[in-house]
Amino acid sequence: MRLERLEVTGFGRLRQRRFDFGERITVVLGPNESGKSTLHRAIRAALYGLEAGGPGRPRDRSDWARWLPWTSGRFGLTLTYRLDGGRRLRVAQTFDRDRVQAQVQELGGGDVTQQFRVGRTVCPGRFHLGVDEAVFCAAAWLGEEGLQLSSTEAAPQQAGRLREALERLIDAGAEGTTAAEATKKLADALQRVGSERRVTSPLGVAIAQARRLEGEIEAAERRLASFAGEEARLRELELEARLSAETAVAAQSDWIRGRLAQLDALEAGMLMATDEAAELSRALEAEAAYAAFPAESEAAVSALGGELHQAARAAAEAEVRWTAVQEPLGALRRRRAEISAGLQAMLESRAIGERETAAASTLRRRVEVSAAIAHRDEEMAATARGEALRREIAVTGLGGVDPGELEAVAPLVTTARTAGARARGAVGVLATVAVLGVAATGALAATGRHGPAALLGAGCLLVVAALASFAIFAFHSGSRARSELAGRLPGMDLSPAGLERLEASLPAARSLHAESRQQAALVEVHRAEQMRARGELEAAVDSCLALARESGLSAPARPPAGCRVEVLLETAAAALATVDEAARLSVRRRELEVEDARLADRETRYAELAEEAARDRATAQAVESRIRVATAAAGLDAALPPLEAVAAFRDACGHRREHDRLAAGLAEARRRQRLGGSDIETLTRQRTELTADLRRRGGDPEQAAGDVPSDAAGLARLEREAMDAQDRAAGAASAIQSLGARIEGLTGSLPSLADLEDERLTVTAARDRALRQQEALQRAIVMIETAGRDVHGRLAPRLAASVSERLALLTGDHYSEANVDMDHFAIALASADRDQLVPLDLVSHGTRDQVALLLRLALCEVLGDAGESMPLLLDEPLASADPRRGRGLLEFLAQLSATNQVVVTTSDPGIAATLVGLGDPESTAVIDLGTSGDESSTDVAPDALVRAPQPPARGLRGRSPER
Amino acid sequence: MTYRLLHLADLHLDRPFAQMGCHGELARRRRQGLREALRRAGEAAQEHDCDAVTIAGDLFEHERAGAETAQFLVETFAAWQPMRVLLAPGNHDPLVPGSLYLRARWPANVHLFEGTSLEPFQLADGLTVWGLGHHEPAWTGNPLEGGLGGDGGGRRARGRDGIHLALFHGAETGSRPAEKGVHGPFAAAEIRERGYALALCGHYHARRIDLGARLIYPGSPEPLAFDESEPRGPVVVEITARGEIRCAALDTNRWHARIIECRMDGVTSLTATVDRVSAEVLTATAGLPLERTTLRVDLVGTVPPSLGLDLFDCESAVRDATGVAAIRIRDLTAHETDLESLAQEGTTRGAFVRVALAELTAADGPAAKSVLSDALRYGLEAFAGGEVGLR
Repeated sequence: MRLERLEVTGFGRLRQRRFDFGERITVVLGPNESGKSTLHRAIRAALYGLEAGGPGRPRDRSDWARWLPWTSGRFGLTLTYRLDGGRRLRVAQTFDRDRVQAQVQELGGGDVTQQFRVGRTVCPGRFHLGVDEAVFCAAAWLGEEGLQLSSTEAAPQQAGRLREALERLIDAGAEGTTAAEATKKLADALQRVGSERRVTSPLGVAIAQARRLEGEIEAAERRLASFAGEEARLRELELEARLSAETAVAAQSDWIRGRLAQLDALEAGMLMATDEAAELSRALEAEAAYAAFPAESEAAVSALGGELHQAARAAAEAEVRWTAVQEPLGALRRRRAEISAGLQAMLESRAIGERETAAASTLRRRVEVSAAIAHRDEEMAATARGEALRREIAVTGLGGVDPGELEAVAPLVTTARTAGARARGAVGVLATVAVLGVAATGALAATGRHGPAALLGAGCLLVVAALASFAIFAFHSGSRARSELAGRLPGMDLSPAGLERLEASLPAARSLHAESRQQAALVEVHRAEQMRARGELEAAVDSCLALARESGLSAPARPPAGCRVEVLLETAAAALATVDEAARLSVRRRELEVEDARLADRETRYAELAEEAARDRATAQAVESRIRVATAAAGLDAALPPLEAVAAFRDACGHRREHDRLAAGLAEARRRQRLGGSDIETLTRQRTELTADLRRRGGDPEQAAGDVPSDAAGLARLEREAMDAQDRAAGAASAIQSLGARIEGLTGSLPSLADLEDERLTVTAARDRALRQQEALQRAIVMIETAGRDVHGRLAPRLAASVSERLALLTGDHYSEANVDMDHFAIALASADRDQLVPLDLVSHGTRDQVALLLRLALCEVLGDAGESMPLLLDEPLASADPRRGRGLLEFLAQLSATNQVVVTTSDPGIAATLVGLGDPESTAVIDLGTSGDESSTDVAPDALVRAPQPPARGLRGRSPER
Repeated sequence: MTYRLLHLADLHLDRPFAQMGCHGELARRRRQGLREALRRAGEAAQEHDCDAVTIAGDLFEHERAGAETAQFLVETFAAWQPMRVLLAPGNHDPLVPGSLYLRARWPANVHLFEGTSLEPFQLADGLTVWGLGHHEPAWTGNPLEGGLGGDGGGRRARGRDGIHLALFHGAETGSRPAEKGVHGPFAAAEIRERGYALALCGHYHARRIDLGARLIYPGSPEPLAFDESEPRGPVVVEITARGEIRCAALDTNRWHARIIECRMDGVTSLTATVDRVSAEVLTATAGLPLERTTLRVDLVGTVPPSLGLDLFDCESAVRDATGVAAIRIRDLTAHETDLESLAQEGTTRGAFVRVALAELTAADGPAAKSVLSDALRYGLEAFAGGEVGLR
């Protein structure tokens, strides 16, 4: 960046002034309070704006208030500058009380203000230079203190301060602390928070208290739970006592009600037994006759009755079945007689089995197949077809010719037929050639061209001769062919017409001959088949005759050899018919034998029915005898039919049982009469007492006693239940008394869980807060250390490279390289004179000044990264420097101006003159603030100043303004 | 004949108060204050000639309430005889095994609604109170289901004579505060639909008397959180023989809570912070008894990174300076620094901000974000050169 012009409307003591800057060096000259520093500040305000207060910062203490124009009027300025790339811009900042605004205009372009706005502030410096205002101030806007030139500190302290300033700038900009200091602050805070191990620290105390309270709360909860359990137990005991008392009362009431019911039942039973005994005595007298009847035999007699009933029914049924089969039995016997006669008649016939029947069937099929083949007429048809073909061959006129001859004759016929024609054609052409040759030769000769005529004539003669030879050869070929044909086909017409017919009939004759040969072969095949079929037929006839003989039948005589096929067939049919008849008779005999066996079986069953009827009758008679014996022994009438006797016996047994039942009932009634052991009056007295007792217990004597037991066992159970319940109620009451007293005693000493929980919540909140603080502080430390390592590791080499680059150039390669320590930016230089790096505190003052300045520039570069060269604004840099150091620095600045524009203020005209002398007159400007006037851009004549050595001709690598 | 009853709920006996900055003796005073609030409610009921006191749940906190609390309740309710006391357990005092409700030997004037759905209690001729008790700490059933309307809704209700009130602990869904649990949710419209003349409810700690919706939330009788700043106390309900209902809220609370916001712009030191917060506290609590006032102060605005505020020290200093019973300070301020600009710096501080912002962005969950946010703040305070203030 190169500053070109500053126009001040009003800023501090400057008002309505315009300043033009030199391309490389500008010296602002003027006495104290002439506005030199104001001019520097105005440049900064143009590039970064002006802080005008805000929340918590009163405006009257802001920079804005400090740089208000001394005289009334507008507050603002305009700066024109050029970027290294050639763009020219003008920024106009207005700081009026009621109107703060800024505008950036690209010269030759438009308004680009928005590109440089950060919030409400327009700060093009930040965008062009890449660093904020604080870093710009710390690095490029330097006063005497910034260069350390007047410091009286020792060299190590100076180097240390430089290093610290550098570290501070890199870590937090111009206003912050270093990363190491920040980490220390965080560590201090961490110390304040403490740790679990440090039991006296807030965190340690909180953790210990939280643990203690956890234990106390747990114990308190156990105590309260135990107490709650005892309270619950007390309630259970109270409930149990109440329920037991209620159970006892209920059981006692039920017992009384049961007892009352029992007394009622006892009285009613006594009265009922008396009545019952009288009634039973009367009935018993009526049944006295049966007292000795043998009722014990009832089962046996009843069984006999049943047995008799069944035997009689079985006998009747058997008789019915026997009667029903009388008629079928007669028919059955007659049929068996017929079958016996039939079988007797068939005794002489020979029995034929299934094997013979199957063999006869097989032979019949063989005979039929052989007869069918022997009777076929295919041979005759083939013979007839052969005859027809021979007749067709004869029609062609070639009937007498051997089929082999026909193949040889065919080319002879063709030759004989075509040779004459070829000879005639050749003679025709010969004549034509001769006539035309003669005519042409003559014509040529007539015109006197004897040579061509002779040649033509000779040529014609040669052609005529050739044609004549061909004609003669053709004629002889035809003659030879006809002679041979006449020999092979004697009598054949060999005229041209005959030859044409012969040639036409030859293919048909050859075809017919081929077919005739096929038919002849077919006739032979058929003949062989018929012969084989006849042989088989004769063999089948022999087999039929043999079968008949083997079956013991009379077979016909075998026909003579060579007899007709029909005779053979008749013989075979007769033999097989004999076998078939014999087979039919055998089947019929087997059928009759089966039927006879079936009828014999049925006859046997009929006979069994007769035996069964006789047996059942005998059984029934035996049972009747036994019944008579039994009823007679019981004194019953012997004349009674058996079944009636059984019924009478059973009736008598019923009377005997009724007698016994009445006797037992009478005994029971008499027993009940005796059972109570007391009289009605006693029962009534007991009932009265129990009723009164029930009323005392809240019971109702009128209530039905159906739901309570009235028997002795039930009453005893109720009595036991009542006693048990009374015991339980008494036990519960005792336990209630002791537990109640215990609970009463504990109530006042129980811990307050709410108090403990409050304390725990407070302590755990403090603990959690401390743990969170601890974690956050530790995270902050880690993140700062990480960031520091990253930034330091990245920037230190770049700083070293930047410084090295310029340092070698500016010191004439005396110091070739600078090293920057990554941790704390300690600087050391590599010297051509020494083997080892030289710490900064050991180099000369001048070199240290130069390194300090170079470091700041390098810092701007690496922090900014914007690529623009940073203008250096130096305010009275040599105010108290000794002349030699001042001169050295001025030379350094003159050389540095090749890459970075330098604006130096001074009140010493000598310094101004020296600097101007050191610089290029074309690119150096002097602003003399001591000169009055509206525009004070003044060029100082070089001649008026001390000339300084010219800067090296070579430029700084990579730092040319063109960049 | 006019019938009067006093309705209260959400007393929360034996509640811890640590979250309001109270512990030790102060917390005990606060709990004692709750018991006194119940006694005062009884006195108010007697002064207003009430026939019954209805308590719609959260009478005590089950986890911490012990025998002493049971004894206190039994004695207190017994002293109110013959006035009837109707208890409807809520989510903080559910009828679980071991509950105080089941362990205490209640006097005869106490009726405990033990059913899980509304069941009737004849309070007077023609006046029935239907109540239920929560049986679990997180019951989400509709308390108005069953009871008077039953499954048939209003048709059955119209068949019953007299006036019917509902007493339960539940969350009216139309007005539920965001952070409040949904225990026994119901819609206000159901009260009318099911035939109740009024629903005497508990659960919400803010008072709500909405006779249009036939709904009353008396709120907690004493403030239980910083945001419960409005006046509070039980509600007297008057029911005439003709069914007309009138309500009167009683402001009986002795303790007070406030949340105030304090702008910190321009403050650059702890002393200035304490001065400014104290001034704000005194302004906000003017007229209140400071020894029974608890506050939460939210610090807002922007502060310079160099101001490291230790909140614990700040709370102690403000409490000493103002005399309030308890104070909680939340630091919601932001640094004046523009983090985006800082992150663009090539300095170590810029790199630190970038790392911190990246981790903050990637952090999972509010706890991790909170730690990283604090770490960023601590780091910037350390870079600013001041003492790091512990948040």
